[in-house]
Amino acid sequence: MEKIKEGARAVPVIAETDVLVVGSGPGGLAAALGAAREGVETMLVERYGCFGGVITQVGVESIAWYRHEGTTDVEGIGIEFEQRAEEMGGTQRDPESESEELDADMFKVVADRLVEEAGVVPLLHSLAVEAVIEGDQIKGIITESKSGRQAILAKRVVDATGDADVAYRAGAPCRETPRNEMMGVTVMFSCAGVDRERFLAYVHENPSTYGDWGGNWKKEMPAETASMFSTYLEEPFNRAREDGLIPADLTSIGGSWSSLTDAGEATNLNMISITDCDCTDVWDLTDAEMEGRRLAMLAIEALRAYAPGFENARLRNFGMTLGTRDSRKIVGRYNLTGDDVRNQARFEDSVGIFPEFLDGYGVLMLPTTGRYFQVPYGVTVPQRVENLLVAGRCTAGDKISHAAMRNQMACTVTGQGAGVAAAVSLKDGVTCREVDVERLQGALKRQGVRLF
Amino acid sequence: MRRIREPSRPVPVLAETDVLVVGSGPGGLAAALGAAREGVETMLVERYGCFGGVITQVGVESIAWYRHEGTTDVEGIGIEFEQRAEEMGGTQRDPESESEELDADMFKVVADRLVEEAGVVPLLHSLAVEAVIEGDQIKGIITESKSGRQAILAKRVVDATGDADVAYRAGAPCRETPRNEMMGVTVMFSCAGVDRERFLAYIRDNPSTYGDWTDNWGIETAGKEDDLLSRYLKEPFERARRDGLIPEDLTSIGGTWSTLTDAGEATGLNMVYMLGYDCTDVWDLTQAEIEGRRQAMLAIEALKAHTPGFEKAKLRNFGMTLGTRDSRKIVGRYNLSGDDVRNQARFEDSIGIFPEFLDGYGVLMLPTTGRYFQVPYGVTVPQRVENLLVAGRCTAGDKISHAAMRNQMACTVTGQGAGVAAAVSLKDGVTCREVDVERLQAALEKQGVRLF
Repeated sequence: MEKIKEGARAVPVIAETDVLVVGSGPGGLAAALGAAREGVETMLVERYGCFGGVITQVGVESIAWYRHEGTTDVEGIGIEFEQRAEEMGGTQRDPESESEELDADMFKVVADRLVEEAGVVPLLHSLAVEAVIEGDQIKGIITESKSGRQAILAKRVVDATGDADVAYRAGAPCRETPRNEMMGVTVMFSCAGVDRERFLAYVHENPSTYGDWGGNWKKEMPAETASMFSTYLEEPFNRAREDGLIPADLTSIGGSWSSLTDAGEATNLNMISITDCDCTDVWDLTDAEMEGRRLAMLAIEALRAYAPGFENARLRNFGMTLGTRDSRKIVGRYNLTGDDVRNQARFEDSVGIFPEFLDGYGVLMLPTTGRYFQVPYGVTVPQRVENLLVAGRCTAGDKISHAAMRNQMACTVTGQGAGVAAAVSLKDGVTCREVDVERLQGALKRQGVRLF
Repeated sequence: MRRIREPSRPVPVLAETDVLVVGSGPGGLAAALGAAREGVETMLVERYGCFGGVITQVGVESIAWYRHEGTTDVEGIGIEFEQRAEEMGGTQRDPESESEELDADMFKVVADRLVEEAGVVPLLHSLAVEAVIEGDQIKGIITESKSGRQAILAKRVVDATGDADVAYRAGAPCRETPRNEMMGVTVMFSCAGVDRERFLAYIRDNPSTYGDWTDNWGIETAGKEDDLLSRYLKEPFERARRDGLIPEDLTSIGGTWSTLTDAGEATGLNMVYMLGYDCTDVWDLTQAEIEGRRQAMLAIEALKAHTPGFEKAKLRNFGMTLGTRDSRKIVGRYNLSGDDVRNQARFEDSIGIFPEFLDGYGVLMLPTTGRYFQVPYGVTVPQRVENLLVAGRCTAGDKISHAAMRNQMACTVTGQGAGVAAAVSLKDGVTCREVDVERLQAALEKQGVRLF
């Protein structure tokens, strides 16, 4: 590839902080709150104009759709998100699980409030583009924004970018699923003008189960999961394919509905899955956004034609940005495995628990049994670079474990763990790698985390 | 300010093109379409995941709300936006003017279609951070994205960033309104659950006129506007201030409603107007986003309490990003003045017309008389840097002229002009500064632009 030469430059330092969290999705938001509540100066940097990542920017409102009677669930900041949003009137009951659906735009306000109350210093509209490294230590990041190229220096950095952008640029070893095995990306959308009662009557007459997940959602799942009610919707799309409203070979359309509001809105429609897209490649992102919007409009045509209650529906909005599931993950001090998730793994350095819930790479397992695994601190600790931790889906692990750890609530576990670890290591004057696990666990417990 | 040193580095070249347009709002989108339709290779780079700028990303749907009987309006790509959106079912009639309101999210699909049909090469999710300069010539830009730092080389560059980001970084002289005189910024929002008929009955009983702007926004009109109906809404917010629902000193809340849909949506609510923020300063952007969301929630409380039809309304969504009106403008070969706008200025190098419409800095003038001015090519031509043109609100002019040229439809005029000029200069083998005005005007006329 042709290259051009850029000259050396001096970059102004706009802020210095104890703990710097990059990215504000479920992982980063939990990390910033966790660190700030330990009393260290904490800054949260976000590329868009609102906090909340996949919740607010993509519109995935179902933070705990896996939760059923019998689920042993996370305790910690993730549950606080759900409860706080409910208190602020920003949720609806999920029709298929024991959980609240977050209202995507209301959660922007919830996140603002949480950030403010915890005393986190917010910085929006700032893209993290480079790591500042001295020797084997991370010393901060470089951002690009309307203010130009600037540096933020920090004693500890938590990478919650979803794609391990900071760790990768800092030189920490990463792995990436081969492109043809990557999970699909989704343009999320919502409709207005939906007749809720009519649609629910149709669903009542034509109930789906998880066993119906078909097309590109083809899944291996336990019999119990397969028999449970699911908001999966396929028939209108099959009929649309039969009569040519959707091209017969367009199997990427079909999926699940979610919240239905009093005001005739159907939000969080997860009905488009585009494969062979690498979300760390800007050309792929471009194609997927445009193709995803095209497919979403076709999906709406099919819903109008064949889903009772959607006759007068129309596009309400797309997510602010493409939903992505799979990209770079660090190679960590410990790399979680599918076996760990499926066999109730226990770890001495646990930073929290997560139920036996898998969704991805053709596997679906819902946590109806009470089984759960412990999440080790080691998955947040990268190799080679010191005082950098990773939170959210880019923590260390193999493909199958990613199908568990990529979920929003799991991201809050590694987020809170990494944020508190950054704070504790700083207060104790040790590196993140050397943090005293008992002291870390003591702090997490005081914050309400269930560790074991 | 403390600085850190970054070494020189090689930057991979991602693409090379004839014309590169940076930013895809009404100005940039028109520029890219205008250039591509002249048959030159054109690339459109956008920082978010969709095209459309203030329309799709902020949610300002009223592209031509100034148009009344008697208005002599623009002819060109801006009108095509409105018509194409209407054909695709993505508009509603504006009740207070002779224009269509664009549906913000549908316009993402309209823009995708236009870009694709014109053969423009799209690149989304890419922030332009630097200009590539050789001597006095611009040779391209540097972008930052999930793919990292990359260069795009181009024979001509059109800066449609809204803030003259490329021109400023290329070293072209710019001016900025002093912060305390800058126009306000707005968090746009929409509601769901609105009883349209009940609200419209209330409006019929309590009509507002543009004369009401005089009281609240301290607006000077020409007098002829004062009796025209306006969607300005004042009473609910005054009552909320009286009864303590909104703090009495929070005068930034109040403003206009816009589209009401069959599905009970009220979109394009322009009701938070905050002064004292510089939108080229990332700290100001951060504060404005958070404070704007807080005030929007207060506005909704006031609407629910004191506006018939809004009793059961709730937040539907915020704009993807803060709405901004005022920042850097280039110092151009010609700098448009308020006198030009108010006195039907005529220019030999006209690239289009714009009606006598002013909205900003305490002045409101609606184009009800048929009066209009011509927009000279010179406002798109920066000083010092060659083969760079500027489109949209950052074109050259004084404060009062900005109150005209910042409007979406005016941005399409400078956009189409700059895009076609870039293409014509390239085909003729001359620099942008040397472009033959007659050949430029002939090309614009062929594209349907009214020049004189």
